[in-house]
Amino acid sequence: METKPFNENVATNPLRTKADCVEALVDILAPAMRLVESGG
Amino acid sequence: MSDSGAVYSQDRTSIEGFCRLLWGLGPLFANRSNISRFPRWWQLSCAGIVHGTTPDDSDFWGNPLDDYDQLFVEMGAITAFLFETRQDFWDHLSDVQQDNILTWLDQINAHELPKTNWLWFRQMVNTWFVHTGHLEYDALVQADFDVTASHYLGHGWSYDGYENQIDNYIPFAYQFFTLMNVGLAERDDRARYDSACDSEKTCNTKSAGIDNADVPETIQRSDNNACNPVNSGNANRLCSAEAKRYTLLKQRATAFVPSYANWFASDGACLPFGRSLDYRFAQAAFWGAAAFAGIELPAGWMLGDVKHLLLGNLRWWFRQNIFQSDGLIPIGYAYPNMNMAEGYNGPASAYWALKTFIFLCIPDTDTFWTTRESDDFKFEPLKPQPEPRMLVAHSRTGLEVQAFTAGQHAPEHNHTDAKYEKYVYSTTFGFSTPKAATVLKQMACDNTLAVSESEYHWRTAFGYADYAIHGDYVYSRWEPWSNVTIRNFIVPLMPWHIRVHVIDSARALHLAEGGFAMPDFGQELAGPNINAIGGVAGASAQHAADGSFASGWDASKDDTRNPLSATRALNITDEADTLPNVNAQAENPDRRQEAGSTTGGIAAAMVNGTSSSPTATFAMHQQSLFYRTEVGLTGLIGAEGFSLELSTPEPNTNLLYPKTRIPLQMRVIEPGRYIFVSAYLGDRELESVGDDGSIAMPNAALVGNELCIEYRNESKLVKLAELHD
Repeated sequence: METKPFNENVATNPLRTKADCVEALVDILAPAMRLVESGG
Repeated sequence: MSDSGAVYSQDRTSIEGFCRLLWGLGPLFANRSNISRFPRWWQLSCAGIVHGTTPDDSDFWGNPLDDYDQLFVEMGAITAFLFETRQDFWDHLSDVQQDNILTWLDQINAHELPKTNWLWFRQMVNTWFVHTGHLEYDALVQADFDVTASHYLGHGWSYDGYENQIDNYIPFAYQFFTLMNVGLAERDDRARYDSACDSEKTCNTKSAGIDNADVPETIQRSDNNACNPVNSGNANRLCSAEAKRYTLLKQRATAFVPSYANWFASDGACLPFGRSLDYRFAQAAFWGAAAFAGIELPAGWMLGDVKHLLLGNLRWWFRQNIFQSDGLIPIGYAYPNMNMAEGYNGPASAYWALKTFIFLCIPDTDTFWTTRESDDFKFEPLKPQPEPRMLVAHSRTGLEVQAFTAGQHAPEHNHTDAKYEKYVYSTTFGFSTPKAATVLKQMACDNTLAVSESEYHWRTAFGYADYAIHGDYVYSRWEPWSNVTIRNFIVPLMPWHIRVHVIDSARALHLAEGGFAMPDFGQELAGPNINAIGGVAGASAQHAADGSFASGWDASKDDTRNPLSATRALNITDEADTLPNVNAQAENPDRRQEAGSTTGGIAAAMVNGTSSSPTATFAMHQQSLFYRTEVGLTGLIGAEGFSLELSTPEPNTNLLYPKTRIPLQMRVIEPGRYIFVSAYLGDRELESVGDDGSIAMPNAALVGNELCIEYRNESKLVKLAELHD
């Protein structure tokens, strides 16, 4: 499966449903949480 | 995230980096299913709070904290997380762990806080104490509430410690935290009521002081039958106090809806104005909190309208270049930018915007999720807003918002003159913050007048001596030196606006005044027609070329009172106007418009020592300049004796575009009194453009204190009340 660029998901997210909104939040949190996990 | 600094210590920066994520993690984990979906994130969140509040832990966040400690701000995020995840986090902690958290949080009651929105963080903390059975903390909540409630101005607006400073941060903070506090406290009551009823089956839904009659109906939560079993004994008193506060806050939020909505464009963009713009999509936080708290909507407003404003702004933001290549959100606005940052913007500060996701705490079964976003965008074409001291104008379909301001002033923030005291702020064209003031290109002086005693060391308005917001114009008086007074009258005429400057100066001054900034990938037009591409850059266009402003007057009226008839008599269409161009001086012979040498002033601009009779007319110069990009069309019609230039400011000065061009007019004046009339164009929708591509231009002339404006076969007279001498 092709991996989308880091911000493509959130940029194209239609935000029509609650699931859409949750996914947008997850997309924004994920890079920062990777940093937290690494102790950065 | 990065090694950039902030005004607080580096360890605070690191703690902030963790806590700001809680603004998003709390709403995420408010839905229990997400805990099992993201177990590692849940573990990191919970462990972070436990370790940070455990005194003998290596990651302990500290005790004692200091007066005005940055961690008091972060206590807001921690408390919100506690409320949002209570049943899955707090309720599973040991007594010692709970005590550690409360002890650490309680420090906020032992230190000085600024009498600003910080008091809301303390109210949140103390509300948590109350909701965990420490009823005595309600008196502390009430004490801070009394202070913050006294900051109310009207139409839903409060001020954040400084009455002259009403900006995006107000809804970021005051309006958001009030409603979040209301929503989380009521949600907590409902959850504990449900829990108690499940276990005891004895609860009376009307017994605890908040019944459904107190709750607004429009976005009323379906299970809003609040009871507070934890507070039995004092429940009636406590619930009554809480209910009284919450009712007032919701009423103010209701009043705020139509006012703040006017700051938004139909494409979702919000007006950028003032400080803290690094928090980006926190612009939508009020709408998220309003939906979450279940406020009553004003007449004519529907839940779909709120949903449209909330999600529309998020969509707009997610289309901007706000992420680094590693996916992190750096300091900046529509692109990474340290130039516009505040001293208190740490590397992770932007994640404060995550609080907007509070609306994910709305239950899955709530009608919010099934309500269709409104298709119609509500806006008012021109709305005076007395609290933020603005006239807010929208373009034809609402795609562009322009806020004409006067009288705002913030003494402390970076680039505070640029952030608060320009003539107009725009959703499409943004505004610029300077890099320096030594050389003009560093100033990026879009929509402001810069003055200097030489070609170096420029200054723009910082602190107006007087101001007024009228229904059709805004007025401000600036005294850059003790012997220089500049009175400004700004008249919206979307997509144009007219500026009248009355300058009394005992000094020779260099003047430079800019219009709207746009990206640098556009083309300067050779004349007032969008098809006039490829002309000589900077070529002037004759104002009267299309003759559009000569036909608007009602012939049945006494035309002798029409100042524009006087300007026509002065041969306004004559390119070889031979009127003396008094005091028009070339401070830079290389400037392109000087080559065009449109010497014609429509009327003498310098009145000192010549004519200052009330019948003297002062009209716009005949020069114009237009610049087009895919973003829109900008331009200006210059004032008497000015040279025009499409300037190229330093990169990374504008909030929206990293490289820009700004239409600029410049002139040098000798000591004396001057009146300058000019017009500026900021046209997102190409409203000014006719079918043949021609750009309709206004004409304006000042007689006494009456400004006569003609535009597109219509005319109006604006009486400038403050121009009485």
